[in-house]
Amino acid sequence: MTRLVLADPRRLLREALADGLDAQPDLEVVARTDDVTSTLLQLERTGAEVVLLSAAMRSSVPQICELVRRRTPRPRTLLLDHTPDDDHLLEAVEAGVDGYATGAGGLEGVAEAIRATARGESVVPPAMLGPLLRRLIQRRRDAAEAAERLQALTRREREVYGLMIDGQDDDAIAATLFISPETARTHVHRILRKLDVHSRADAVALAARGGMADHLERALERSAS
Amino acid sequence: MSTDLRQLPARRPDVSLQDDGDDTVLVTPSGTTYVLNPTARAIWELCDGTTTIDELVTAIAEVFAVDRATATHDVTATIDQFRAAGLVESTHR
Repeated sequence: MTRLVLADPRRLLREALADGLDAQPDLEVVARTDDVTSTLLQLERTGAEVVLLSAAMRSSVPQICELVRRRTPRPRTLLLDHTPDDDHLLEAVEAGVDGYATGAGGLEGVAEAIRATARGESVVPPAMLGPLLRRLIQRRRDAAEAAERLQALTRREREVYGLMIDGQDDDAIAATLFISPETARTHVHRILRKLDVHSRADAVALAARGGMADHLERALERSAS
Repeated sequence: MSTDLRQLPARRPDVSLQDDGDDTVLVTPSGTTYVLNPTARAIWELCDGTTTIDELVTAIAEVFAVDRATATHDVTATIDQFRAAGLVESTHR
């Protein structure tokens, strides 16, 4: 018997789905919840193996995945997204969900996804797997390219770039680093040239695209240690 | 024999992919068919001549939360089967 917590703030859908799943001989919905706190409390209380999160809980998925990761044994997480989308799937995988179901296979499809998730399998709709892998690969390429461009910056320029990413203008950067606004402007111009971008906005967008902020923090940690 | 992970497998353009209900089928010009499981289908889609086996392994390991050795085995075994059947060709970066 697989025991699960079903989280959906929409009462009617929650009740209908829970009743349907409960009617399966090998599934038991041990708690029905409507927010992050009640979901975590019920996971703690019931020791359920799986938590089924509806699309309405999507913004809370990273938080829930982070919190359940600390539990032993760790409950498995399955996101049920009625409006499947490659971006949603990528976000869910990066947040650490174990499974992503679309509901296209009806109640039996959701039940099967729950069973597979409970068995320890990673559930991804077959037609979405190729595009997901492609996006993950592209993201890694962007990150590698960003790390390479970052190598061209001096330690001081990396500090300035970090402040640009935080949204500071030339005067604020100057004040933070105890340098003149003119020197700050010179650093910013050199950074834009080395990164091969035309504006501060492009530089910040590049950081977001390549996960450069992480690289920058790591680079700064290394230079600080 | 270990596979060179820098290889860039490329689908042969004359092999077509067809969705047949729950199954995905590759059809060669001579009419031979091969049924693909979901993972093999995804690997097939990424045999585009620009993606290395190493990149595929890394992405598969992340999505399926398996260790790199397992992902390397699974991906190279699949691509070796594609190659043995004459479905893909490999070049190097």
